[in-house]
Amino acid sequence: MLPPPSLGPELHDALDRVLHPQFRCKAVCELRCKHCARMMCQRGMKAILLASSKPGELRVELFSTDSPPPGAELFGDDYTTASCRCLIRDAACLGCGNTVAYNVTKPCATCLQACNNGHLWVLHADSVSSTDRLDTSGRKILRWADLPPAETDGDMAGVHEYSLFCR
Amino acid sequence: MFANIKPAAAAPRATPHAIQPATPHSATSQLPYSVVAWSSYSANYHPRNIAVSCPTDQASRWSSAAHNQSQYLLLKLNRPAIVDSITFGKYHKPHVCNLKEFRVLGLPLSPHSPLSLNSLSSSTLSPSSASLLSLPSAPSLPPMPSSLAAPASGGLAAQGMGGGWMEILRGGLRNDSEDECFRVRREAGSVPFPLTHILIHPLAAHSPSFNFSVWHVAAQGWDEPGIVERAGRAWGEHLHRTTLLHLLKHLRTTSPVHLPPLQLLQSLPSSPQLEHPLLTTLHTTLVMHGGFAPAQHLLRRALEAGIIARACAAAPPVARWTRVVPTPQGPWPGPRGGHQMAVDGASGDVYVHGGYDGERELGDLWRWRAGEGWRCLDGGGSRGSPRPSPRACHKLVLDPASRSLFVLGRYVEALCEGNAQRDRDRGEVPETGDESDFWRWDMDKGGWERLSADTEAEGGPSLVYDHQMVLDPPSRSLYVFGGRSQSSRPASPNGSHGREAYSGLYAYHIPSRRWTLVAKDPPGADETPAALGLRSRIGHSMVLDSAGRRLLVLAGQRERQYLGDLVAFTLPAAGGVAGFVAPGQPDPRVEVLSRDTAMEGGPEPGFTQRAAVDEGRGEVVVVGGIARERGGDGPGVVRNDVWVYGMTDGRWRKVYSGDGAGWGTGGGGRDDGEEEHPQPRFAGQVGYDEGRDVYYMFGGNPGEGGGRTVRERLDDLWEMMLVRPDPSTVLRRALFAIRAQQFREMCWGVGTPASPGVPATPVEPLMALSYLRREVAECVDHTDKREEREFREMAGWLFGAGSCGAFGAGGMAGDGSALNPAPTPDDVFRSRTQLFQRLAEVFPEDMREPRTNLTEMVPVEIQR
Repeated sequence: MLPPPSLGPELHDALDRVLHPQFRCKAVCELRCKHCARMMCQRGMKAILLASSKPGELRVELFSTDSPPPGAELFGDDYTTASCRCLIRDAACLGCGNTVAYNVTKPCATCLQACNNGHLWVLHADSVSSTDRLDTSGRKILRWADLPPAETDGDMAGVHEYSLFCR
Repeated sequence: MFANIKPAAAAPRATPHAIQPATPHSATSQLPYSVVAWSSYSANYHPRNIAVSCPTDQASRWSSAAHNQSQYLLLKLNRPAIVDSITFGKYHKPHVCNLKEFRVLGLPLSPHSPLSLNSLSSSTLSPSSASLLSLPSAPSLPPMPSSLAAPASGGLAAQGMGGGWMEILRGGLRNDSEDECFRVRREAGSVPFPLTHILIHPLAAHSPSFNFSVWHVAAQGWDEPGIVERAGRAWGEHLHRTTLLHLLKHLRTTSPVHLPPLQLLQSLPSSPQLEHPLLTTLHTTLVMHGGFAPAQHLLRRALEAGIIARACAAAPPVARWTRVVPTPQGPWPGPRGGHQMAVDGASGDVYVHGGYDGERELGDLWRWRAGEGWRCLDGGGSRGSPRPSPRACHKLVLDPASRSLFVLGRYVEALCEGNAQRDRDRGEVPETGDESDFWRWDMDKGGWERLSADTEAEGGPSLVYDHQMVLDPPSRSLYVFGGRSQSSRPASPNGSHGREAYSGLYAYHIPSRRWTLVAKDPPGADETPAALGLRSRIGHSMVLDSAGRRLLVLAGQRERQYLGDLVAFTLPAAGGVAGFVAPGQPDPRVEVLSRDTAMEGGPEPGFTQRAAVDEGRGEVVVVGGIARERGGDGPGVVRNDVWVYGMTDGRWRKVYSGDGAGWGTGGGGRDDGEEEHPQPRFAGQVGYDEGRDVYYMFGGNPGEGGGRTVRERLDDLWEMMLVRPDPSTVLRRALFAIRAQQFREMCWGVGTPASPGVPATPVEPLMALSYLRREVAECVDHTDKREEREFREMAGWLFGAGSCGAFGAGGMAGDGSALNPAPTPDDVFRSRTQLFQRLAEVFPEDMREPRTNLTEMVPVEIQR
């Protein structure tokens, strides 16, 4: 597990906001690396990049998640892009090493003030494949409103993984 | 940016004591190679990709499945060559998987190599260099450097390499897009050595958590047969001299009686027997005198004396798979994983019960009978008389004495800790009970009987999944071990395990229907020494060693750990039922046979392997499963490897290597074009029919990815036979080899001496042809594709294919080149020696010269 990004108290407040209603009905996706099929994370959300959603700009589709994706790891140094002042660092798939995601290590004020989903992990839409995660009944698509917090969700991964293997 | 660095023409090294021949002065050329072995690979990053340079394609590379120190690529040069430099290509952008540190080893052409130096330009000289005992699919690879073969034993820091391997390069790549070319060591003691194989051994990637990737490899050097032949000869002489010096020194320091050592060594009739006298005679007869007819007689005597049979018994079997093709009309059980299988030893009937088809659990019971096909004995379903609910990850055991199939346990998704918590969070009640029901199928009358509604209430196991259950006929008992408990009852020291706990060892006495708790994990089991004994687990294998009166427990999973141990649990000798030993107490019945079977040539740590017992031979056969690459932290690799464990000698042997598939990748089965191979899977089932000496495998889960969905399951039925060499076949092949040699010499015009010592008269080509048609053809199994091909190719020898032919013009090779001179007495000697070495393999190891050569053990100073 990676340490949480070091943010000031006011930023924490901003991130701890209750998930905005528009995100609650969104489907939870399971994201796999498009190159080697390794599971990246099971808590993905389809999203639009904040920094690119200004009027007149191209909308960049991507996936985001609220905790470090187990299938990827950070590498290299922080950097900024031309879009905003967020500090970001790339993450590569632990299976094939291709760059599949980045982590906003320090969000900028502009992005925090915009309507955001609080997710600091971003997976590139062209690097991952997405399938909707099903609820325990296996019949309905799991929504973000019903998704347990990341801490408890992770505990079940082992059991879930084994049950995939045993039959 | 992607400039291909042209390796500089060889700059001749200053060699102070130049021994002829020195490193060539001519320009180097690219050395074609093939990748013949590798430690692992992930996704579609197959090792063969490294032969291609395509810097813009992220998929054009080898990428390992783990980032430990045991990863390697083995390259075989198409022709032996003096390697001058190696070029590593890269991706067009920096990549975390680039090799920050690596080393390269080379395997020098051995003077003991069966390859005649004259044949460097052609591979058709010998019918086959394969061992007479080896079967077609047995892998033939050079021995690995010992430090790679047993990664944890010596550590790779160890400099000493067994088997003749030499480190020719240690380096690292920059994390950029530029190709990098490295000059390698190519001389030792000022003598250049030709290599046959190159081994690339990654040591570190640019980011430590990532797997290793090699994008492109090219080797440059000299492979002209003339140069290599001269170098090989010089290298051989160098090694020979070094060896003799060591031998001399060794004998001198061992005992003064050994002086003068070499003459004494050759004339030691009274010394301990070095080899079987038949072999000594065979050597004189065949190699020295070319007595082909007496040589055949000697081998027939070896067969009569049971010598060949002994060698055959010691040779590893080879697994051969045959798919049972469904008949168009007949019924066939649906695809499934996590089902159960049992084989009725008396009739050979195969029973399959339950499983999971990717969407729901199954409750049907099927019987497969050779010649008759599948028959559904019970369709499952909820109507009619009571029967086990649909289930997977349960166990089924066949008891021939009571003509019963016993069914215990199942996996209930809703009861699993995480799922149950979710249900509770939502105020939902789990849909299923957690009672452990126990059933019996009457094999004669058909029909289910519920033996118990809740075995936990009767002192037996709670509701468990992925446990193991075996029958112990003498005590009329079933032993149930491991699995994960799904009971909601609170844990107690001698009874219930509690939810999510690993279940212990129980015995069920069939006649009295009574359960006994035999052993149980102590609290905090992972920390106590006792935990190193019979640790409870899931997804393991368990078999009964009836001769040794013990249960053998292999591998499995505990928490997130993949186990690789082999543990024996001794059962009461007189046929009584084992009693209880309190948790935490030393249990003398438990013996850890191996902490890590991979260290002894067995399977890697893993789970869901399936094991079956061949009691007659005292062998356990272990198939497939999910293995974790050593040191890797990936989700495991699905493999179809087959291992044989000898219960008496404790020896592991890998008898089949199916290509592995990474979990969630598109890896397929093995495909060598001639035989069918099952695709890798887990959660399938395996059973052994002693009557037909056949192993059955049915269904399983092929894993996700590669176009497959998470719901895909298999419904294929396979028969696997372990084929062992048969003494009379081995003799026939030996006779084929001898007659092939006689024919070769006829083509060479050497002729066969009428009797030892009498000079041979040259042979007429037509006589040779007639010999081929009658004498050689008689020894060929014309139904064996490989033998038949070899036999057909032999006709070309008459015209000089691969050697100087009887019809060929003096010294002209059949391929038009003038590289092959007329065979010299040396060639004849070498060729006969090569044959002798193959023939010696039909003798057991303790009766013949050692397989290894002293030259390969001699430490050679490498000039740095």
